[in-house]
Order: sequence, then structure tokens, then C-alpha cells
Amino acid sequence: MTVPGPGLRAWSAPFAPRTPLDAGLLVPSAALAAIGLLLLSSAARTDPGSVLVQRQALSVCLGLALMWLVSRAEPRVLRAYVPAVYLLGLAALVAVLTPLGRTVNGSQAWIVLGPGLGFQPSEFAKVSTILALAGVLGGRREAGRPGGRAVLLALALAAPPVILIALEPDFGTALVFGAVTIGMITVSGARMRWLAGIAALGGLVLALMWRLDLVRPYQLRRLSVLIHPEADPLGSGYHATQSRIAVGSGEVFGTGLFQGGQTAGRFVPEQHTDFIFTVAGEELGFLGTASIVLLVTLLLWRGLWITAVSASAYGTVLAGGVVCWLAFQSFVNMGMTLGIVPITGLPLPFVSYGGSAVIAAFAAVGLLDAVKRAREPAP
Amino acid sequence: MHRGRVALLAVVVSSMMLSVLGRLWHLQIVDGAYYARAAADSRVRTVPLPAPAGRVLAADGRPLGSGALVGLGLETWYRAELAGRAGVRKLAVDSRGTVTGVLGESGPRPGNTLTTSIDPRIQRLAEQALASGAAKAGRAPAGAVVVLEASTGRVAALAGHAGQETAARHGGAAGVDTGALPASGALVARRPPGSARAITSPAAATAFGFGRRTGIDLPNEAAGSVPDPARHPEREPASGADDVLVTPLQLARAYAAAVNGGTLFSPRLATGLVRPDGTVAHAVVPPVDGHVTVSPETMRGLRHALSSSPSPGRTLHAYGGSGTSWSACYVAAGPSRYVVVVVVPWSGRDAAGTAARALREGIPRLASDPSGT
Repeated sequence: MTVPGPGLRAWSAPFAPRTPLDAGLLVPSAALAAIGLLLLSSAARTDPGSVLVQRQALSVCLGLALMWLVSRAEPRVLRAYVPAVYLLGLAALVAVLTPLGRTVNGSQAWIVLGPGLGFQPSEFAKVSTILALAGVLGGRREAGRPGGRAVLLALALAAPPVILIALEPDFGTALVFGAVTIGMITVSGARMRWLAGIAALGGLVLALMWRLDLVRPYQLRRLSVLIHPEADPLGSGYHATQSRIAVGSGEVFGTGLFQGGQTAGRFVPEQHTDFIFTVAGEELGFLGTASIVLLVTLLLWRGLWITAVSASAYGTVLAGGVVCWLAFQSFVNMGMTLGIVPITGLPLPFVSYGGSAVIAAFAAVGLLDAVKRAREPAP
Repeated sequence: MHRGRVALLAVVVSSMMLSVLGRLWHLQIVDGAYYARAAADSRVRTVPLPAPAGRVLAADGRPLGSGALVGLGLETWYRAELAGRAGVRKLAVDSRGTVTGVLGESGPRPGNTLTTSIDPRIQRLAEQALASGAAKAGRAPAGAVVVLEASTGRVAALAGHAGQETAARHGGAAGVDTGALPASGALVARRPPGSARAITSPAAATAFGFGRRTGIDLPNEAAGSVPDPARHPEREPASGADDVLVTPLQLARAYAAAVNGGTLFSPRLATGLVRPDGTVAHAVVPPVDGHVTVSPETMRGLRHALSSSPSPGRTLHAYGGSGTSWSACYVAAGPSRYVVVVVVPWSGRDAAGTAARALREGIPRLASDPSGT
């Protein structure tokens, strides 16, 4: 019954409770998460004891809450915490390589805290690395663009997580970091010669990996089955072939939710996580898959608009990094189920099962909203 | 500056999404029907339901199980009728091949039963006669026996041992592997007909069906050979007899024609095919392969020679040449009339006579003893 004291008012000052979340961000991301829960309940319907849907629903709720919290934050306030967040992310990536880490599907990428309670540090490292790179590339500027030192520093900050994740090994996630780094340097306005230099360096690293036999045989097989999936229908080509069959068999309207025979028979491995798009393909048809692509595109365009109109260079680079992340990961995930990208273990943001992934993705959308909010005049 | 870079990013992002959309269009709309079929195929496993094969029955209605006739090729000849038609069961399976349900089933159609004119008692008698004849001659069992119902052309018994000699000398020459086929000697062992000159003079040989297959319902039959009279005009008809090579089956049906008034049958083991429900699918009747016109005098002589009382050397129409001999006789048993031909691959005027006489005496006894013991 008392008037709030000045202390409480001061605490709530950075927050603007009366400004709702941006609908252009909230609607597509929440819709994708909702579709994901439906597809997940279909993918898990032949396993009566499954608690995947309940767990994912909890993760979505946590993600939405984190998105709201992050969106309330003042970007400049966030910046103060960036070094700590970055180091924390790095520490988790180191910890996952110690006996603390749990190996799933050949990648030592999980830290298990207790029964049914684990997380994937690489997902949170995406957020922390984007924040760190934005701090460097959107910070001190010479003539409106980051200088050579800033670009080199950005590369130096991006390298440790990429190397640590490649050691798990999780080649797909390491590629996301690469794409995000290049995208952020591009959006930051750095000189083109820096981008050319990075491209040359990337080519050199690939050539070196090839020469030193660091390319694993399964990676080569995945590349070859992209072109000829029928060459090895029961081995490396199995995943690609079955995935294509499941998606194609949906035709225009799909078999109907919970009606897909390929989904019920579990013909596509990992159909609840990395290959959840095949469930949409079979059961919802082209109308369903095109709707998912449309929702992703709407979210990305909203992010691009926020990138373009951001009041600060920091906001631009930060939003651009989030857009690059979500765009690259969505493209690679959908592309691999359709046979236009080699198979790499990457989840479809908001849709695939995976608590860390969905919470990190919502946090990233929260960052976009925070960047948008920063250009609005204080109420 | 930044706006340009953001526009570049927008182009990259949009083309990524457009390529996904284009690929989806191709997979789900252009090729959708193909993948829908592929999906259905991967979920359905078709299991064939084998049809029970039809049985082969002897004349007494019991299964024809005797060793001598197995492998002759009767089952092969009537394979399509005996096999029936396999059914299919369509099962729903998951990715591990675990059956999750039955989608549909069409039951198999069992094969038809083949009934034959093989009389198991005469068959047994023939096999025993051949064995005891060989034992008496101090040789390993060899040779062939054909028992043909004279007025119908039906085969009552077909026994034999296609010994190594027979296979090498005759079957081998005919290009047929007979070593593994007991009783096939009756079909492929080609021998000079010897003194049966009344029916083997080059003119008569063709009329009696020598030199061509009888058309019996068994595979691997040999045709024998008859010299072309045009190529050996200088030869005496009688002396040409040894150039004629006949199979025991050809001899048997020629004798049958001699005693039935001249009808040359294409012999048959089968009498009919019966559906599983007991109805007759179709009856098998030995087709008439031709009519023999020989002088009534010759006919009478043959019939007399074949049916006169059994005393060695004279009563049976017989031949004993180098390395081969045969014996033929005519037996009445109840309402049936049989022609018996025995061929053995060794010399001697009465080498085949022992077995022939055993049959000639044994068959009438069977007719008067319906119990078959």
C-alpha cells in the first residue's frame, strides 16, 4: 500500500515494462517453437514413455522468459558483462572436453549436471561469442569502420571457441561460428581487403587440413553422398536417402499431423532433433514446410531491419551476428534434410528438440529486441 | 556503408531461404509422387505364402512314392499344375524391419493332384523281375521294363536301371544325362530291335513310330533312329534291321499297336489333374499318334507270338544280339491287356526272358488277387 521507494524505481529504470516485445520477432519465433512442439509430439508418438515434449515445452518457457529478460536490458549495460560472459562460455567449452563432458552421437558436447539435467555449452557460447565480437567490432572505430586491430582481435576472440568445438568434435557448430564471425566483420563495415584476407586464410586452413589428413573419412563420405546418395544406401547415404523420401512423400498437403508412416516407423534417424524438418515434410507437406521457411524468413528480415536501423554500430554488429547465426544454422539444417548441404549435426532453431539450443535461440531474439529498443526514445 | 553491407547480408539470407523453398518445391511437388511411392515401398514388406504342392497318386489312389519313378521328371512335366499359385501377405514394417501390422493378404492356391495309371503292384513286380533276372545272369541290375496297357496307351509300370553302360553308350550318345535317372532307360536306351523284323523293316519302322519320340509325358525322351532308305538303296530290308535303334518305350507302343488293331498311342503316365476341392481340372487321355497299316497276316503272327504259352526261346518275341537283348510279351489280366517289354544290356538269346516271364506270370495273379498282397 506504500508508494515504491526511490531504490526500487532506480532498479527498474533500465527496464521499460510498458513496451511490449517486438511482434515481428516474437510471433515468428514463438510460432516456430509451437510448430516444433507439435512435430516433436508426432516424432515421439511411437514411444509411449517419452517425456521429450514436456521437457521441450519447459525449455521453450525458459527461453521465452530469458528472451523477455534480455530484451529489457540496456545494450550498454549488457556490454559491461560481456568479458565475464565470454570467459564463462569459454570455461564451459573447456570443461566439456574434460571428464565432465558427456559424449552423444560421437561429439563430447554435453555437460550433465544431474539425471535429465544437462546442457550444451556450445549453444551458449554462440551468444557469448556474438556479444564479445560485437563489443570489439562495434566499439572503437576509425572513420566509421573497425580498424585492423579490431578485426584481428575479433578473429582472436572467435578462434578459441571454434577450436574447442572442433575438438569435441562438432564440425557443424564450428562452421556456425565461422559464418557468424565472417558475417559480423562484413556488417561492421570493415574494409573488403580484410574479408578477402579471411577468405584466403580459410582456404589455406582447409588445404592444410586436407594435407595433414585432418579431414575425417565420414566427412568425405557425407560430401560424396550429397552428390550420390544412392551409392551407399545403407551406410552414409541412408540418412540422406531416407530424409529425402520422408520430405518428398509429403507432397503438397502432407499426410496430416500424427499420420506420417515414415515418422511412425522411425525411418529417418534423429527425427526429433536435427531431422525434425522431415516430420514437417511428411506430415504437413509443402504447405507446412513452406510456412516454416516463411516464418524463418520473416524473423530474419525483422532482424535485418533491426540491423539496418540500429542507432549504434554496436547494435548493428550485434544484430547482424544474431541474424547470421540463425540464417546459417536454419539453412544448413533444412538444406541437409533436403540434400543440398552435407549432413552436419545442427538443430533447426526453435523447432528441433534440445533445451540449450532453444533457450540460446530465444536469448538471441531477446538481444535483437534489446537492440531495437535502444533506438527508441526513453519513455 | 553499413546499409550496403546489411543489404548484402539480406541478399545472402534471402537466396538461402529461396534455395530451400525451391528444393522443397522440387522434392514435394515435382517429384512428390515418386517419393510417396518410395515411402510406401519402404514401409511394406511383401511375404510370399508358398502354395502346398499337389501330390502325385498311383492308380490305387495312394501317393506314388516308389523310388524308381522319382526323378523321372513327371513332376517337372506337370510342374505348373502341381505347383499351384503362391499367395502374398503385405506387412507394415518400421525402419528396423519390425512388423507393426498386416496390411492385406491373398491366400495361396494349392497345386492340383496328379493321378497316374502307374499300378504300384505291377511297378513293384517289374522292379523285382529286373533285379532277379540280373541276379540269375550274375550281373548288377541293369536294363528297363515298360508295361503298357495295349488298348489305351496308358503306362502301368516303368522300371529300370540306367547303368553306367547304358548312360555312356546310349544316353551319352543322345546327349542326355541318364545316369541319375532310374527307369529312364526305357526312354533313352536305344537298341537294335533285332529279330522283330516284321515291324522294323525300313518301310514298317516308320509306320510303327520308330525314329521319332513317342511324346510320353516325361522329359528327356530319345527319338532313336531309322536309316534313310534313300541313302542305302542297295541294302536288303532285312539286313537294314540292325541299323534301326529303338527305345524300349517305342518297342512297347509298337507291340501295343500290333495287338490293338493298329492304333499307335502317345503313351501317358498321367490320367488326370484333380483340384484341391476334388473336382477334375482336366482328364488326360493318351492321344493317338497314328494308325499302323500292316497286313493282317503280320498282325496275326505277332499277336500269336506274343501271347503263346511261355516256354523259353519260342514263346516270347525276343532278340539276343551282341551286348543287348530284349523280350516282349502280351498279358491279359482281368479286363486289361498289357504289353510288356524288357531290355537288358547284355548278350544272350534269352537274357531278358527271365524277367519277361516273371511279369507274364505275375501280372495275371495280381488281377485275381485284388488285395494286392
